[in-house]
Amino acid sequence: MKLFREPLFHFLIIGGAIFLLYFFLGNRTSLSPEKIVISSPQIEWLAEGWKRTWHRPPTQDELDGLIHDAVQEEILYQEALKLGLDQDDPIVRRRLRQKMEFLTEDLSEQRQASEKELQEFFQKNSKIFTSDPNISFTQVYLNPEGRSDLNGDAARLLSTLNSSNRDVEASALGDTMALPSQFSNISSTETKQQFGPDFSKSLFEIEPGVWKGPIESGLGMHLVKVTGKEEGKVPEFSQIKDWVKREWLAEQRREFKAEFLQGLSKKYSIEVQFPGWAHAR
Amino acid sequence: MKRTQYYGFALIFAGLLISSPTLAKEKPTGKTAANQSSSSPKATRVYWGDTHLHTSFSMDAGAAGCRLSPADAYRFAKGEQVMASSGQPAKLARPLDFLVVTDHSDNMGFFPQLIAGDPAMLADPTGKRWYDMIQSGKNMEAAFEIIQAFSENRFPKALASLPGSKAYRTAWDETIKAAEGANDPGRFTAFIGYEWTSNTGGNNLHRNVIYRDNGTKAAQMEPYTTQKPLGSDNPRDLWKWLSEYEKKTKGNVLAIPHNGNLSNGRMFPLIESFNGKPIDKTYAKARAEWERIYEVTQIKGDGETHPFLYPNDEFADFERWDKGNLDLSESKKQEMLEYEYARSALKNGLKAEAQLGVNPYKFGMIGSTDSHTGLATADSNNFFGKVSSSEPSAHRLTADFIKTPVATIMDWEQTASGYAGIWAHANTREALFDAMERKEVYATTGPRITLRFFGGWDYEPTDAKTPDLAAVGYAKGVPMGGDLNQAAEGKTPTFLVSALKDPIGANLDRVQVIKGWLDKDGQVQEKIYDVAWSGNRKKSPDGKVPTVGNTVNAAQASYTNSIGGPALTTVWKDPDFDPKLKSFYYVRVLQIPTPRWTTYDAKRFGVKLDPKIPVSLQERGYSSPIWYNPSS
Repeated sequence: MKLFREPLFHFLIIGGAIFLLYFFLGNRTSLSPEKIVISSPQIEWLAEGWKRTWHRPPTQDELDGLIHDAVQEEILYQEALKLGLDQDDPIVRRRLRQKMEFLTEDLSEQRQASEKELQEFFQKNSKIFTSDPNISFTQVYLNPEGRSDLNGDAARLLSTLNSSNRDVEASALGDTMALPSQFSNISSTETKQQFGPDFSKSLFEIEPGVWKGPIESGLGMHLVKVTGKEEGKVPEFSQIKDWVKREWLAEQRREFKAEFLQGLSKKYSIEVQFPGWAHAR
Repeated sequence: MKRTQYYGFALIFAGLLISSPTLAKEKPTGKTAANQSSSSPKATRVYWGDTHLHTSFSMDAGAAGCRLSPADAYRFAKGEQVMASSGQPAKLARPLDFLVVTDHSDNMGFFPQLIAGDPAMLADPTGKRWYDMIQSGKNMEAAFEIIQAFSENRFPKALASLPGSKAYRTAWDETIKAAEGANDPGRFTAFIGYEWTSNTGGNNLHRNVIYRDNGTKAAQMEPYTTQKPLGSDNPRDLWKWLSEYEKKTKGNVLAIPHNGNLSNGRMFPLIESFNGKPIDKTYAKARAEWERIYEVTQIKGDGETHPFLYPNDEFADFERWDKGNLDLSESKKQEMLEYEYARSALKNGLKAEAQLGVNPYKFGMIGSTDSHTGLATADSNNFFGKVSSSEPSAHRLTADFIKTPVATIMDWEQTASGYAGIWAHANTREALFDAMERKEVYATTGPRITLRFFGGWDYEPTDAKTPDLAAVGYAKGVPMGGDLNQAAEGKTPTFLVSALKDPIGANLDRVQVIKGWLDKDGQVQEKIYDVAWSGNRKKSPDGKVPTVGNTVNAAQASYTNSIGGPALTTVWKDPDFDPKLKSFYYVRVLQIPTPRWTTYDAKRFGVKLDPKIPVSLQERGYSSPIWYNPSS
């Protein structure tokens, strides 16, 4: 029987047993029914919750269902508390911890930064706001598979390319691949993603204007002509004020959280009892 | 066993819900015409990301020790270092281009918005005082005072839980805030999303809901849950909710199902599990409308196909999870498999279309992690596991993942998979979302293999030699996810396919086209064609290319690219085409064998592997299909 393995079944049996125990041993007057009030604000709140999901108020039937469910939940909640089911439950503990963390998060975000503070933060952390360098280039790909003289082929192709003035021809040379032959204004992050970090590093060291290479990547060999390069730069403060504000807030949050936890820790003396196999640091 | 406790909890909850009344009413579904993405710019590059990641906001992730928030998850995906929940620093070798944090909508949890600076709050003297304290920089004092008020039950009623006020803020708002903060159009896309976790009887019918929209729209409706009376465990009700959302907000959302392998025959039904009746046209239409892509590979197993379904596929036995349903409360039966795997579903979709006029299972494919650690990792040498308690350690090769009287799944059985590749013209919510809707997407088990797949009538063998492949591809046909209609007299579909290895990964073994069709007797069929491969291997008489070999050194957890090739490109023409038969074609690309994540772990921690654990595997990618329709 699957039923006997159901935690719900266990829960009901244990709950029933405790109930009977109290019934026979305890003070019988305590068994007089306890009152559950579903107040009108609570009902408003239930209806509000419904509205947020369905964007219309519940019908009378639906509202009755919500209330019925709320009553059941309240009964089970009260009984669960009496049985101490909230104690040492990892999910409940995690939830409470999370609520505390939300709370600190909220509080840390209340203070608005002044213009001066933001400016100072921006000056001090300009590295965060520096953009990636950009590059434009054309590449001719040589697939190493099936070539007996990869470097020789590359050298020959390179001299052909440099003796010709027309880039149109470049797109007809070399091997096919699933990446394009021309890239305009792509960032170093993107060249790293598409060709790997080593290729990307060599690429940005190339002088613009003439065909260079071969440069090796994880994909094979490439001949490259860089047509434009732009260093990474720090934008104007006025253009990225929102971004600065976000970063400033993130720092505030980190500082506040640490400080807050430190403050709370002062209320406690902490003793760690290591088992034999572990050592205190 | 923390995880088992969680499943126990879920069962209690499910049990309590049986008595609640069902309130959902029938409503028509269907996206408005305005939402159908029209012609979009040609996709210039593939963007990599994860559409399925959990953080501590998911109750089960939290219970298993996850402490990272959605904001942390986005930071990690962008390439920043974060402290993993197990206390070890974690950083992605290569950042992702996009991420969707999809925490479970059920129990996503509430938190009172204590201080928002709103008029109602400022009207309360205590609230006003706290607000002023904070504004004047005394936030620490205010914080302690507030905590104290809470703990001594002196918290002002006006600030607490008045209905309709801002007194409660949901974790949903936090989720939205994290995505809005991390979204950086052009550089990194942070989608808003959640997971709808229908799990009745332990059978996985989960869907991730992803928004094209910003927080202003997403915040207008709270996520749909599975708990009655507000929610439902029936996907039809989820589709209604999606429809309502779009109508209400003029927004745009889609849903991505996953882990059919843990649904025990319910993910791609021909007979619906909820009413025992054959699926009807309403079901087929809504499903095709809302669920245009399927998460085919992830940590809880790969879901392309199963050896039982096609014994002739020598690559089918790959990272299969086929012991039972999600909570292992019921074991797997062979007859369930057909309704669980992507390839058989694509085939059954043709069958359903013949009967209903609509193909319910006309989906593209992506991979994602479904990690519950806040860390989107799918690389075998940097695998952080499914849950925080299985983050790297010397113990995870011998620990249980889940153990029930039905079966046991070990931690080592987790699959270091997968990622979603999206072909788009820009890295923005709009561009990536629209690509998902038109199915110009593909799945990999982790490696960033670039895969192009075009179908048309006029590709020539010389097209496979063009350096600018995409230009020819778009000019003469449709990309992956598209349709070919009504072959003209004497015409046969041709396909331009090109795969490029991961620039810092392993070489490629072969590219295959997998064809499925509905024959003239109404039976579903499939065939696998090797269409491009590395080296000088000759096809055997049965049409198969011999194996590529294996360079994996188990002790060193290493391999070499001395076998395989970096780029495989070809034009393939269907040799068995019948213009009267409905069919689909998709590409499977295979890497050469590389060490499995467990082999990297064994070396890192100096432990011996159980001989049951495979030393190496062939990682792979699956394109979205291109369909052929005999009529237009």
